Amino acid sequence: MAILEIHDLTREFTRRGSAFPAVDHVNLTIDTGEFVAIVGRSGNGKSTLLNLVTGLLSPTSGTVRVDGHVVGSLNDRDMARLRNRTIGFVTQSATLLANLTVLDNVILPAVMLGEPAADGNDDDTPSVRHATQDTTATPATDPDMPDVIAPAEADATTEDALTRRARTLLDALQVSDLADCYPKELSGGEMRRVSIARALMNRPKLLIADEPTGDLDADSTAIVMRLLRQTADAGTAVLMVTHDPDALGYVDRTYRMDRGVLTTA
Amino acid sequence: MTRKLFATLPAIVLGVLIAVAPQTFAYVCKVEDGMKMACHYTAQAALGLGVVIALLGVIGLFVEPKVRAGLNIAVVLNAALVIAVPTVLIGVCKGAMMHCHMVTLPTLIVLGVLAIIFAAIAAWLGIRDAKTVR
Amino acid sequence: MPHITLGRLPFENLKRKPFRTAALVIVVTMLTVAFYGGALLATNLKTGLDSMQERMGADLMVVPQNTGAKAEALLTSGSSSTFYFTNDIAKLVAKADGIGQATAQTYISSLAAACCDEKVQIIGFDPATDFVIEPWITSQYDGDLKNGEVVAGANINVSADGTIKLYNHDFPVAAQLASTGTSLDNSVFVNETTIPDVVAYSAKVGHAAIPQEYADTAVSAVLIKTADGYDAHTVADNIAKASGIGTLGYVYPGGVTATTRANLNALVGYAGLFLAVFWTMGLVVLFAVFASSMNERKREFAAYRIMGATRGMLVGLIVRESATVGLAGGVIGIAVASLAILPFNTLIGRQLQLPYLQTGAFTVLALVTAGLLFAVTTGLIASIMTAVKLSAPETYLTLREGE
Repeated sequence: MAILEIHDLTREFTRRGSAFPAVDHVNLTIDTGEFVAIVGRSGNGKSTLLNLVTGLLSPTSGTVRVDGHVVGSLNDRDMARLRNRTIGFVTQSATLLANLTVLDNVILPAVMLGEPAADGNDDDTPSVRHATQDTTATPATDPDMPDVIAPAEADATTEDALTRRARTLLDALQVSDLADCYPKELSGGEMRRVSIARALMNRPKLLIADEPTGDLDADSTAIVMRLLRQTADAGTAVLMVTHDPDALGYVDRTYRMDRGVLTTA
Repeated sequence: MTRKLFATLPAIVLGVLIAVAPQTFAYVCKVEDGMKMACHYTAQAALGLGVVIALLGVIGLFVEPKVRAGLNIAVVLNAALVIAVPTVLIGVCKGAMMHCHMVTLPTLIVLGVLAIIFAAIAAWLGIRDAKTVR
Repeated sequence: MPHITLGRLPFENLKRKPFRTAALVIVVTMLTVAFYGGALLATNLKTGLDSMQERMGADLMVVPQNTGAKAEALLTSGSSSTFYFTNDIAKLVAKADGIGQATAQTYISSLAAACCDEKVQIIGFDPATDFVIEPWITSQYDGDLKNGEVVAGANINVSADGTIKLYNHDFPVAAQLASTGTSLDNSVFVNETTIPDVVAYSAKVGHAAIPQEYADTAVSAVLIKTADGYDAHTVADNIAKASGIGTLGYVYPGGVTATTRANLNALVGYAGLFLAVFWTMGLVVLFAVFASSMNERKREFAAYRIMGATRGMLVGLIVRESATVGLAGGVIGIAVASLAILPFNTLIGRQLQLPYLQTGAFTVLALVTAGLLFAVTTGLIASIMTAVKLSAPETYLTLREGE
């Protein structure tokens, strides 16, 4: 089933008085469980494409469909809901909120729309939950990691469902010991992993990752890419923009973006 | 460091002011012919209370945060006395235009209120921090 | 600690930027102090003036030569004095054309006997003809003032046994009046017939207020209510003609009130202008801080958008942050100004040398509410540009390459 359908998408910008297409007649379809990468040099329209997919920019022509909804036809509220519930976005820059702890940063998307989204939600895909449990079971599990269930029983009032889920995600990315730190105390790689946890918080159907391994060392890259692969295997469509050759080994399909034109690599 | 100064400096400054004010700018009526008015005793009491509050602040500079929170609770209670002395416990001269009624009384009330506010905040912060550390 | 909620987000943002928040709160605090403190002082002055006007039943005061200024001071500020002429002049004055009512009063400035007492203005009035003091006293004290008894103004120190000691004599106090914010609060009122006794007591302690031989005849002023259709100045001319004395002093209490009111209005006007300038400057500062923090926070807002915040949520976030800053500044400012003004009202009234009367709790409460509204509104106005930008329909916040 196609989660993301991009049809003949064009976005023009005006630079020094003349229009030029940053995204030029792009067609792309991603199905459930697919892991797609787009490579290309900076300034070739990759970020513009992602902004179009998330509806932060509106297209000059063409359409984007996410989970059946035409992006751009929705009003601000429904678009926000789509971004919150259906799309997870791992940003290229450090977009963690400096004023919140790591844990609160991860939880925030779940409380954004007023009602909790992480549990008992109809968007809930059990397979994603399964995937995260899989990762907690990997040998990478920190022996000091607090048992997810025990503290919930010991201190049931503070350790609610959202906190539990956020901690599970942080565990999976091996940054659970940083839960109470603030972003400025984190390294680039740690921040990246926290923002992946944040993107996964609401169990998205479409995960968009903009340079997820940008400034990571080889070990961290492997952790992140394995997690993205597992997320895709669990049924989430993953769209990644990268120019890291190491990352391409994990994907199903790779495209190249050159001056706004998307071609199969 | 900032926290420590915030939790002690107000008590020191306000304590000194409480002690000094009735002796100087917010003077009370002079003793005439050995007839001592209420305000004279109020000034004496304020002197004592002010010194105690200032000393609590000074001691706070040298102790651990938890003890400092306790000292600030003491400052709150002493500052409450600073307000009670000129209003109910001892009082000042009754004449509204008399200096001790017009200046000393409100000065002591204001200093007392300020001391209570600062010390209460400091005590609350100190207790809260002690809890989170534990 | 419970996890983050959307409602807690503004407070976390403020808490984690303590210096920015403190700077904003301080600016709002200063503006609120100026606004609320200024309004409170102006209201108290106006209350005092109204009260003074109410107490001024006379259109014209005839006083001895060169004592007009003293008499005016006696009306407006607290300075007490003694001056007099003899009552045959008073009788001459009363014969002039255009006088509706006339009554004599005697003013004696006493040296306080008891420790620490301020000087007390003793006002002797004639219950038979009085139209100035009596109506006001009877509004608070029902009964005739007996010889030797006094009615005390609000600021007079009455001892526990209900007397006041003047010239080493204990006068029984029949009643104490409510505060008026005028010099009358520092006065004691006695019968005209008690005046000779007062003079006698003063002579006994060696501070003769009035030479003994004039004690029975001295009056300080003749207060006149003009008959219908007569102007106070015309009546003053008539008095000069009728009495044949060209050197009398004339005080026009209405004019005094009007002058004081004009001065006060000018003062309030300047203060208002100053406040407006001050407020504009403060607003510019707040504006600049919010605008620069907006640029700084572009990425943060983009992150909210990515996470699924509607534009309304972003605006709500900014509005709640600025309203919180406004409220905090307002509460602190009002507390500071109240502490500085309310307990010291007697001192302020004295230093101002203007009629100053602390307004009632209800008015103060209304001013507090107005002050809080002012502070919150100021905070909101400062953030309005940011809010407008955030609610712009074309997407302003996108993630950029390399950011």
